Amino acid sequence: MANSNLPRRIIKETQRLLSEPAPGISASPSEDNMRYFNVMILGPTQSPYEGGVFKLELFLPEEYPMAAPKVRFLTKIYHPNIDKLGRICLDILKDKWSPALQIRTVLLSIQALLSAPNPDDPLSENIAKHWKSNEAEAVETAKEWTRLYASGA
Amino acid sequence: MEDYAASSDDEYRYSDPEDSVDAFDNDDNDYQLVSSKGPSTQVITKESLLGAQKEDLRKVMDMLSVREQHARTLLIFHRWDVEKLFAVYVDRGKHFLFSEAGVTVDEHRDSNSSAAPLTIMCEICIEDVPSDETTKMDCGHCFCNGCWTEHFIVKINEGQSKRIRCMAHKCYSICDEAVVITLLSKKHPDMAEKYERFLLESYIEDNKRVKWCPSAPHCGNAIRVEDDELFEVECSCGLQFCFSCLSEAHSPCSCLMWELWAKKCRDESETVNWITVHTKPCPKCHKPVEKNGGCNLVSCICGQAFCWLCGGATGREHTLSSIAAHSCGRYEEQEKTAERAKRDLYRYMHYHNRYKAHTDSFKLESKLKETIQKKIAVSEEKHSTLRDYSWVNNGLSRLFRSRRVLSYSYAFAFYMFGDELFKEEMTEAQREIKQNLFEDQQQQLEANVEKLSKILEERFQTFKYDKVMEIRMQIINLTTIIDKLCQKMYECIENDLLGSLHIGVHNIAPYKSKGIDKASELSVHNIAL
Ligand SMILES: [Zn+2]
Ligand SMILES: [Zn+2]
Ligand SMILES: [Zn+2]
Ligand SMILES: [Zn+2]
Ligand SMILES: [Zn+2]
Ligand SMILES: [Zn+2]
Ligand SMILES: [Zn+2]
Repeated sequence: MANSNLPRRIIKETQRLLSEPAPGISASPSEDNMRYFNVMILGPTQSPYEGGVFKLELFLPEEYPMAAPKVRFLTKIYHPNIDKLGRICLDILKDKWSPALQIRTVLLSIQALLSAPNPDDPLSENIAKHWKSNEAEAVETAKEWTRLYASGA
Repeated sequence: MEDYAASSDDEYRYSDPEDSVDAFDNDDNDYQLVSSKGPSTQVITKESLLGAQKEDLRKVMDMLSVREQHARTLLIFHRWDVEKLFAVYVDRGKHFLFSEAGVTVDEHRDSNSSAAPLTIMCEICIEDVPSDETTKMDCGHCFCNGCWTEHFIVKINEGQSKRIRCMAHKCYSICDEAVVITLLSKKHPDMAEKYERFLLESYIEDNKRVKWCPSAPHCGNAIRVEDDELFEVECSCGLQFCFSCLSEAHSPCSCLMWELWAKKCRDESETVNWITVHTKPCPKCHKPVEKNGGCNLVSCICGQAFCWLCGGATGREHTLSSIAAHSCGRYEEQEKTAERAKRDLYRYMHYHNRYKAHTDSFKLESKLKETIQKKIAVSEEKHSTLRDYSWVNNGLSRLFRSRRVLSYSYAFAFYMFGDELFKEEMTEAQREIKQNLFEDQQQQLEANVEKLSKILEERFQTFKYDKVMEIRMQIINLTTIIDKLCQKMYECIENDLLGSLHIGVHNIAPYKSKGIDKASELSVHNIAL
């Protein structure tokens, strides 16, 4: 197998992700590359993303766990901390990354970000502006996008 | 930022392009009078960098009784400002000082005393590792040496050498540099070296009192200052520069004035301006056409006639005041903007011409250095009783220094009395009074500088003894007068001009009668290591 020299830590993490998945989250490694994960996160209840199924990709770089995993939304989403390309603005994916964090903690943090958008630290200026000037309307757009793009396939 | 030519090659210097902004290279070095005041600036070379750093480390280590690596972490956090660090210590206490900077001292180190298990599961790699292959940091977090090492390498490559945090989540403790170096040295001595160099250079890069000399190619030195007043300094490589903006020494211009002026001189737009003021494009072939004669009908060499006021193509039939079958509407507005542009351009040219005249003279006078030494040699042969020629050398260095001052004083005046920076600061009448006051001083200085320049060119080596003594007196007098006049002009600038400003602080490096301070070599052997 191509992944024979996979570090024990990645194998352990993968096993645990598969055997005891976190609620609302599923992550499974790709067949041909054990460092590449297909991820699904359910929109948290009482958030504008409720009822949506969001696909993400997660990749563990060579330096993992010294360097943070690379994560990106594949499903279109209207969120002030996520840009058009699906890139996520989350401190633990950048300077607050610690090698003691895991794939599971990263995905739980992303799920939490869906429940609590933070327009003060935006990745998407326009959406953040919208969020700050008229939150009710922005939430409506987010719901609309969830219906349009994340209604499960 | 300015480019600095390597200033060791005289030939290269004299061939500076005509309009070079850095017209003054540091040619007056050889004539520097010995500074009487103790030096407040020091050169830090590659060799003395370690020593310079140790001085500050020692202060902190003594004061707080901590080990060197902790002193360094504290100092890096406080950007090598020992005074500030001590102030935090006094105001907020040791605990705050340490935790703010991520220093944890020895709280968990002694755990070896209790019987350690043979293997430990490292939470990063999830491997069971013999306990002697793990390392516990001061914060108490313990991981295997392999994980630590990889972590250090990633952080160093990310450029985070100066503050490598512990691997545990939400632990803000800074890794002990001794541990970092020990672990890296085992398999990655190159990384250990890189890490140590970063720590060493932090003393320059994170320190507001130390700056790299801006020479290019770089001389390898840094300059350290004792206080943060604005001043100009000379590195041991010979480069003179403004410590604040790192461009060439530019007093009495403030850094902002100099930045604007240097940019203005470089910009081609001024030439473009001249063309827009004096020519108009032909409506047919678009070549610039100059106005000739009084009437507003101009003709291009292509044969097209057009109206000077609006630029529109016309026939050729016209009187002095009107062109047949052409009604021109935009006259007044166009005329006004053209007038203003012309006035601004002339104003700039006025100051720039004088600025440049002095930089050009400076270049010419630089050659006097050699000829004057020859003259002295001849004269020494001729008049055996005349041994002391310091009056010539002093006169010459006074000339160089005052030329610099004069030259930059025109760039200063351009902004001081122009609209760009201080339009709101004074009324038209106030400005006129101030300008007269300043120009009075400037002209007196200018007249005396020219006089001195002329006398220094005289062939005194051919003169009889009495005549030499006469010229000697003149040069000594002028040297003193010019020094006084420079001083007076600076007083005027500081007190009457800049001192009365309400908005915008414009600091200028003070006048140094004896020339720009040379930074002294830092003597490392005086420092207890
Ligand atoms: Zn490990
Ligand atoms: Zn720690
Ligand atoms: Zn230098
Ligand atoms: Zn400056
Ligand atoms: Zn033409
Ligand atoms: Zn005519
Ligand atoms: Zn016209």
